[in-house]
Amino acid sequence: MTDDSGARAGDELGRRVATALHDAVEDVAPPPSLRTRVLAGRRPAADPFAVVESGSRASDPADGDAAAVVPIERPIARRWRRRVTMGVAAAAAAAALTAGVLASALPGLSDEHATDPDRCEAPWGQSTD
Amino acid sequence: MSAPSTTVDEACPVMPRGWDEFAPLYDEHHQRLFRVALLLCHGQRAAAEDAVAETFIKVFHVWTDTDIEHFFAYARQTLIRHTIGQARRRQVADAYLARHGVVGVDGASPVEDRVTASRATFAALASLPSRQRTAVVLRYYEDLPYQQIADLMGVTTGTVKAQVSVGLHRLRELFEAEPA
Repeated sequence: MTDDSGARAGDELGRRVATALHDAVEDVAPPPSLRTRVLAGRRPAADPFAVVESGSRASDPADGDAAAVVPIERPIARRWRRRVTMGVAAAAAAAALTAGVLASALPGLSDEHATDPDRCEAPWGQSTD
Repeated sequence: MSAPSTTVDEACPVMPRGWDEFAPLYDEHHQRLFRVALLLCHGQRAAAEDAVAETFIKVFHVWTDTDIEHFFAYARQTLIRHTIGQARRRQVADAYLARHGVVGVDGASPVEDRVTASRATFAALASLPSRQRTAVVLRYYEDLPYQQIADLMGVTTGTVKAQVSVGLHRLRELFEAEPA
């Protein structure tokens, strides 16, 4: 097959494919409602990440039945949400660990010492009794 | 990817135009464009209608400001970009639905249910990746040379030849499996 001779002048398989393609759409025409829809400037689908059952014609209120729209989660958004979730979890764990270390390092702040009257001392170490 | 060709005639500025003036262009080109869309959408009529509607609306907004020298070629290029973009989004949707165990919806049944041969053709086209399908349709339905297909798809001529060759090989297997 030469490059500019066109597919119809090509080999047998090419001719067969060309014939099949032409036969498949022969006598096919769009519905008259499409003209009305186009010339009214109505776009098919608002959300590019939506899967609309039986095409976006179903999403057109003028055409009747309501659409079954499945929201599609973008991979990038999903990836970032996972990262943020992991970051928040790591921060919470670090805060809990820090609180535990501080509580054990400063016994004067614990409840046991705060409620023991014998240990009620002034900050400079002298008893208040 | 080269931009679709539009020309602005400076000596004769474009008068404000609306949908009424656009209607004759729709009437002249909609049928051929719909057939190309139907092949690119492998027989899914609803998807083809959406693609044609989206194409005409996009072209209209360009047409109101500039003269389009070759209207059908411009509209066909817009259609091809739209269908390739839709196929890419469809892959994302299918991946999402597969992860969540939902069976994907194909839109509508092929338009030519009454003709077995047409159904087989659409099924064969559906088995090709979108770019291969586009290359095969442009080559064997629109009868375009490789260079023009490459310009339309924004790839090299060699890539188009490879896609047509692989697509044709795949179609040969399918046609041999189901004799004409």
